[in-house]
Amino acid sequence: MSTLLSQEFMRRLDGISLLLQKSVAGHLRGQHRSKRTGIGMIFSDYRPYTAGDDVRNLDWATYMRLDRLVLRMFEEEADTPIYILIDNSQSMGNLEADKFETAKKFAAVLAYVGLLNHDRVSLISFSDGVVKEMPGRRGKNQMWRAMHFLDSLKNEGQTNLENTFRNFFGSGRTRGLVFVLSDFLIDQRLADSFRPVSQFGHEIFGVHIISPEEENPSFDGQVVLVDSETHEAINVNLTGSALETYRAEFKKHLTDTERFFKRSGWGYTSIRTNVDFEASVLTSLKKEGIFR
Amino acid sequence: MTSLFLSVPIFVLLLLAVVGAVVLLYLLRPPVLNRLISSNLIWKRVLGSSRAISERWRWWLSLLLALLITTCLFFSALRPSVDGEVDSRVLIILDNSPSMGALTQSGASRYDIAKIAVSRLLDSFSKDVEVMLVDTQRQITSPDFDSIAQNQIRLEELTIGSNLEPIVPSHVAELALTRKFIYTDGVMIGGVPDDFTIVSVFQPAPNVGITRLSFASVPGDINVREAFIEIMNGGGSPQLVDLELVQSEARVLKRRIQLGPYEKSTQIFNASKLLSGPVKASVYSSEDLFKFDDVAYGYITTKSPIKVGIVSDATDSKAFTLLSLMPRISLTALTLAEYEEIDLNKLNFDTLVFDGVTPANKPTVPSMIFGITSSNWVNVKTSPIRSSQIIVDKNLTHPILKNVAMTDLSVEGGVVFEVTEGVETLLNSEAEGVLAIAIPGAIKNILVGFDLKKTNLPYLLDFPILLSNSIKWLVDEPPVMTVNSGVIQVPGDVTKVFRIDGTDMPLWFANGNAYFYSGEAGLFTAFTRNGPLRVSVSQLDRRFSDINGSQLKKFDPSLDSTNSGFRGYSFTLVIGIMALLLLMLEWFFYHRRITQ
Repeated sequence: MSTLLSQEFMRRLDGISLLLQKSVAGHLRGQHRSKRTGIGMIFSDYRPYTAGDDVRNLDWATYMRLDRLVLRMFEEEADTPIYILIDNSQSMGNLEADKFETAKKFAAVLAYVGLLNHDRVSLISFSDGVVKEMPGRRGKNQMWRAMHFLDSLKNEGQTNLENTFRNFFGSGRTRGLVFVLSDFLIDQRLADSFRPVSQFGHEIFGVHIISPEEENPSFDGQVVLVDSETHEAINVNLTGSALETYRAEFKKHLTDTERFFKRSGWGYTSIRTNVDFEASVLTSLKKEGIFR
Repeated sequence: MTSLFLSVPIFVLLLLAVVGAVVLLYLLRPPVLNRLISSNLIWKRVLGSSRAISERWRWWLSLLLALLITTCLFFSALRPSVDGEVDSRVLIILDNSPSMGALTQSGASRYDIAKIAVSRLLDSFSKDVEVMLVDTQRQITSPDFDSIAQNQIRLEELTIGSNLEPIVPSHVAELALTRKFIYTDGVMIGGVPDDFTIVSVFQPAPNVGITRLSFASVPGDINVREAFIEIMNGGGSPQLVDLELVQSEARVLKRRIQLGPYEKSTQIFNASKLLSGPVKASVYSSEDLFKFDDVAYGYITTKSPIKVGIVSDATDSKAFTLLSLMPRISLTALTLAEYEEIDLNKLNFDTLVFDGVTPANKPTVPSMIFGITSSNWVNVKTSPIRSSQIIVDKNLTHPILKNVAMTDLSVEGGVVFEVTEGVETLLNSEAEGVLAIAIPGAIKNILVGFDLKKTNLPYLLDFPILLSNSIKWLVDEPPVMTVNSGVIQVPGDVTKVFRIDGTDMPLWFANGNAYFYSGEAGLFTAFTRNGPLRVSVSQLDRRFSDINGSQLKKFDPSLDSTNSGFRGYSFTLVIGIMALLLLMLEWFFYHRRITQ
């Protein structure tokens, strides 16, 4: 088993279930409310009986009172597809390797909870497109496969969310819960990048992985900054005021990203690589209403 | 536009210095830390927002600096191009008038500086350029377009001339060329056309010079002699001047005077203790930078009493009466018989005057004979005057007839001469022939064909002048010829010219005159048939000494390359250093370009 999650932490996750804002569109029986009616525990509606309906759902009490065959309908509890997209571009790795590790741990948590809830969990690594994919898996016994997938990921390429979404969701994916784990350091506008996925009605949750080194650079003076993805070099003289401006701009980047997700009606959380991961991930996801 | 030039070694040196500086700057650049970061996206935004305006300014400033650097390097290394179409032919005029001999503060003369600058200009041209080199003293007699190498040779042969009126032939000055240069101090040269590039080598120079020198006897006392010297301060600062007249170690006259700026002073010396002969006048001033006019030569001619013997058988000789009245003359009267019998050496006559008698033999001293008859010793052919009344033409250019009018002269009898070579005509009658002649030579003679009793000459007002002139011509040395240095014209009968130190001067003859050249002050003796002719060559003219009267007030120190080291290239060096500084500034901006 992978070392991404400790046994103790996994035991703590055992009691957690996923909460979705929208009803799911899974085909298999699961633990989430579905728009489909069928076998379930939650009463949904009545409708006249037609030939071929399951007679087990006839409301015999109504028949006795009204002499009409009325069928009771229940919300069917279905599974939900969970798409966990992990940014494995160069910007997530290299010197700030913790970002990628954090992303993988976060993905492992989501995958574990999803599998526990009998959801179909898909793991997708992306950079400028889909790099690697673990097709949807169900059941706790598939956790080893998820861990193995996460362990096999490497940093490569440049981030291109729009291209990734087009590649992945363009082939007609069942509506589900989409987690996007990234540092969101992309050149395009987020609205443009998420347009391919937003039109399919997925419930999207952004997980912003933040490196404290990025947020508060430890270097100053004459520095040549080399972009890990494009290898573009910028010769800068980092004075105090320049660093202040950078911090403000980075903060704006965080705010803008969060504002985008919230405005779109999606979930958003951020996690810093230097905090206690286990406590932080549970707190933030519970706060956002994803975990219960 | 002033042209700037660099010789090849200096250009290479400058280039190496620039390359060295650039390499040094590269080696000394501050260490730059390479940091690999996730993304420079945020940094771009930061820098993009903060340097939007400043970066644009930096870009323009960087461009401006680059242009300045290029311009500086261009100006320091190359000659600036002349506006307009560039001609493959170039005219260069080098002013070699006397004022160019003034020294500059560096110790080199204006001419030396100009000459080197012209040489550098020639070197800067490509081989296909043809150059016409012209000097203002006409030392290059027939200027024409020629190769660079040929002009370098001509340039080397040029020297400072002594002509006070520099000449550039108008057909040369008006040549339709785009590149015409003149190197001058602007002192003696006149106006320069606008299409010339004037390169000024003028630099104010203190100068004290002698502008006049003459000797004269005091009227009434021929034993008292005075020297007149005019001195001029040609500079703008007061000068303490030591003035000296030297004939020998024992005969020296000295005086120290103070001259104000541009002041002229006439000094009069009692020169009685100086003897007949050459005199050297000189001035000395500690700050004097123009030696050309510091020395002048003069010559004191003999003005002693003259012992004259008059030989006549007449008792009322008009010539005797007049000669006895002349103050310089000590007169002794003799009859022809006495003249023939006595030993003339004992009487030591300077000259003899024969009135109506003709000696049997040629006199051993200069003599004047009135009413000469045909004689064996007279080396002229004579014939008698046939008419009684004749009209006489006078050779007024001869010194004997100087200031002599002889209006209404009539002659009633005598002989006429057939003039041969070497004989000078004094009086001539178109109808009869030559009535009086002068025979120059070591022992001069004046022969008059008529007797004073057969002419109205003694009764004319200018007869005393004629007699006096005649005695002077016979006895006195010819007057000193005072000329400026340069090509000196002397009479055509000059056979030899010696300098005072014995140097035999080369002579050439043209148009009936003889010529010799002296570029500096000196005293010369020209030997003629009439005896020695003293020629005093000096720079006695105020124009020589006025070496600061230039209309050009600027002097480009970069032209003065005669000093050692880099001082001569100071201007070019300044431009080079400026280029380096700008290069460093540009380097600084390059590294600060993408910064706050």
